[in-house]
Amino acid sequence: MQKQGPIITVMLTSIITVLLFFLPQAEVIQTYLLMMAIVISGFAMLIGMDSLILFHARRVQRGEKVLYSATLLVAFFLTVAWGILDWIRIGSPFSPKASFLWLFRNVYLPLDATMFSILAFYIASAAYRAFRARNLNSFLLLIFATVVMIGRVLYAHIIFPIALSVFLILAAVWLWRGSRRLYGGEKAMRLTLAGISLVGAVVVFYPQIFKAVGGSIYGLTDWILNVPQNAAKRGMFLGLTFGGVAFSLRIMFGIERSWTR
Amino acid sequence: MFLLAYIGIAKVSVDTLGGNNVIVWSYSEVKVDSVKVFRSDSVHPKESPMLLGVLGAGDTALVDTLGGKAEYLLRTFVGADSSDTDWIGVGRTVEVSPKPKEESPPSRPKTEKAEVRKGGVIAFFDTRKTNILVAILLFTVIFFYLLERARRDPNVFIRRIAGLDVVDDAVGRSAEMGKPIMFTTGIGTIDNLAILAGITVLKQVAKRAALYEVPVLVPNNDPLVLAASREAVKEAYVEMGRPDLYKENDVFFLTTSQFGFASGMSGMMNRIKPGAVFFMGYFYAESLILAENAYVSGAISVAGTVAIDQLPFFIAACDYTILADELYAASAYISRNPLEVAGVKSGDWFKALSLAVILVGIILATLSQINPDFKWMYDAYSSIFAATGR
Repeated sequence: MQKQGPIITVMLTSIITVLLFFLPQAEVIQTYLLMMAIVISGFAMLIGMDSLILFHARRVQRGEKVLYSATLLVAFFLTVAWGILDWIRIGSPFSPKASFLWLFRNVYLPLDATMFSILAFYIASAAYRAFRARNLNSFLLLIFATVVMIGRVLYAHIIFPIALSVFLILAAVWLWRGSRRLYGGEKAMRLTLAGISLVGAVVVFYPQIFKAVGGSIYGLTDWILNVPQNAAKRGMFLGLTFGGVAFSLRIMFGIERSWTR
Repeated sequence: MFLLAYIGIAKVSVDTLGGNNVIVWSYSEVKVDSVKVFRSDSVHPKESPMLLGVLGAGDTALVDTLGGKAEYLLRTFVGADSSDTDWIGVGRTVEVSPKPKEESPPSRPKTEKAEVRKGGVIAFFDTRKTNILVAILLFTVIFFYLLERARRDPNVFIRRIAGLDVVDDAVGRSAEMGKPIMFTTGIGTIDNLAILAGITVLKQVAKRAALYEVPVLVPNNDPLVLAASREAVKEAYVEMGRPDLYKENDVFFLTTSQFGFASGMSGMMNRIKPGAVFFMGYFYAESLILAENAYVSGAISVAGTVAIDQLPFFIAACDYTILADELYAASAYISRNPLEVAGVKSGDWFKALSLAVILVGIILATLSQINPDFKWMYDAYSSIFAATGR
């Protein structure tokens, strides 16, 4: 029964929840079930606290990474004590008058914001690794990502033609020096293609062309985001939905039991 | 600009932005509990409009990604009372006068409650959700059919998933290096399917870890997930005949704070230098922080999430990435249990079926554009699949 109990509970509650979706008058039962889930998760917090405190208390006892664990324990009990004190004093630790909020605003929020801001550096380092044109796929990713990034910044209509010109100059250098494998190293061909690319780089600066190219960036960015990107994303959503339903059925009918004993 | 007889809302405007229709509104002095936004177009007439969403009193905008030519109606709820605005087309801005509720416009759409009051079958069952019920029943039939087939013939084919083939290599590498494995299901509660899928993968990884005698460290963000993770790891060790290797403290609670969790886990990765790190579950902005720290710590990193917005970060920073719904198939793929694999296949079958439905829709939509005589056919077809009962 220890094994079957949770599986039967899951099966019954999930079938009831699915049925409730189709029965408009049973909204009350649905709300009641949701409330039960909230109450259970509230009690589950005790399991978390128990795990956290015991884990670090044992480490302090063993003399293993004492500084980290002791800091956590002191911070934990200090926060709880401060909250209780404000609760007794004012009635709520989250009241605007509560000094507990000082702790939240001046310790927790800056720490959280610091971690979030570190993300900018990680994005730069991940982008450096991802945006290397190692093959055709990563080259396309580089090109499309660059266009979208330019299209989302201020003065994109000025930056885009300049970036396009720089790209054409780099392409000309590559066509002249690095693309021998592409067309057998024939000098006339290399010269022609590199020349076309260079002319393109210069022509971009002709005022009317500059304006037209610059103006096209917004439409191009929207198109990339709304058509190819959205198509792939919707395909993934479709797969996710059906994969999710199949996974739910596996759990509902006890085929998938990894989550329980 | 014109006036509407209504209470609760002061101004509504509908604009187009990047192919989407954006509905923006502001409130009058009357305090509103919630707002429902309805859409009406060629597929959804005003008598049975599509409910776009139920929003809280603080919300003042909604983006309709369906876009196109449509009209919108806002219904506000104040206590037990509700009232509607007029239908507002795209590109219109409407100011609302604070008139009494009795003067509400007649163009009120049918609601769940309105239908319920009619009695009979409608009162018991929301008929607008019939198409969803049929789809679920069809899915369940396919699911049980494939299950039965797998019972008779356990050789069920599933295509190769590179990210899951490396699980053995990653565990083996950790064993050779004498380093532990780290596994996280990310941020979220136990009701998140991705986290449940992550726990099923955790069990398979823990089984292999028990075989190679490699410790598995599992920091958790939610206490209920912690309890389920502990059960999964413990059961894996028992199944492999090594309950002596299981240490309860290896599966532990870290914090419910998103960046606190990222900070704690990153610190651990840098101090412990694990042989392999698995990110299988649901992740938000902390995904890249975790993945980059796994890279810096020199571990093999394998990630899998259904959070599509976080997938590019994992692809960029991790060694192997399991894409979207592959995560739901992961446990079945690793365990090779025929019944579980059959369950995965039911999703694939339904996917193929829906592709056929979409293909027919594309053909009918194209035909209706070329020749308007086919429009009724397209309208009838799309109305079958319209989600009117959300």
